[in-house]
Amino acid sequence: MGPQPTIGILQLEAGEERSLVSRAILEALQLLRHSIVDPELSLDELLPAKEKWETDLVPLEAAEIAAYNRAAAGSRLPDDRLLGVVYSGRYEVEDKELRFELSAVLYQRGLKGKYRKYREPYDSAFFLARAEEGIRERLRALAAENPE
Amino acid sequence: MTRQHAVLTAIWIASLLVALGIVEAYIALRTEEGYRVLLAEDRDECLKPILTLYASYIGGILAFWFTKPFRPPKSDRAAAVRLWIALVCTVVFNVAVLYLIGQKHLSLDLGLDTVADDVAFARTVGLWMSFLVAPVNLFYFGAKAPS
Repeated sequence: MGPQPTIGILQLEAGEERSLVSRAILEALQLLRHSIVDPELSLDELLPAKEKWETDLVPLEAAEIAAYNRAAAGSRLPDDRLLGVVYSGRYEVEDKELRFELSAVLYQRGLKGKYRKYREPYDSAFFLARAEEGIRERLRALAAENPE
Repeated sequence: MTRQHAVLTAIWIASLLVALGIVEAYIALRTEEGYRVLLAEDRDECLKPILTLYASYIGGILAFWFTKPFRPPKSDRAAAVRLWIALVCTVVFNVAVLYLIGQKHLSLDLGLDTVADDVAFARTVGLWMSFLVAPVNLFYFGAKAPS
């Protein structure tokens, strides 16, 4: 329980290059309201392969916390504080295979406090699954938009 | 030491306890929406500046309960004036510091972004205002009682 990373492998269709993977990751994170803060990327820059990246912290909405608590009843998140999530990861494309590592770390704060790491046990798989699913979906959509 | 010295010492110690209580109340109380204003994890960051600010003043006052290096006031009237100056300066200082720490109990929109920022600012203001209380404490508590 906690921010254990997930490691995934996706088979890429022909024509799915590194630029497509980079766009898919960025767009999937944007759909979750995240942006990459490390490394700092310019508008025309790709997410570098084989390098660790990290997003900004996005507060979780009450509906997201409720959905988590329904899915992971054994490690419920408290409702007396604000919670936020930061994603970090790394990817590489090799032999038409996307290999990636993804982590989701929870942060907490009181209404007038500063964000600090959430130290209680939690199931990061819930947060990883939605990011992973988003990346898969964006890859499929981008591949369809850019047929070879 | 006189009863007046005891009252002034009590004001300082009570102000420290109130300041600590204000922070603890931020942790214990919840807003109407059910959120805590501060988490227990914020305790260190908020209590340390308060303790360091008050430690220097209360430490000095307590030390003068055991030693009196300065001459006593020349008359009862001079002693009374010293008491009033000490009382007013002490109250102004502590009210200002306690207000800055506790203003989010009045409204969450008051003050800086976080309670920790408010406490850090209160400590800074306390240091700026030390001209009000440091010499007063030194000479009021450090003077021998009139004979």
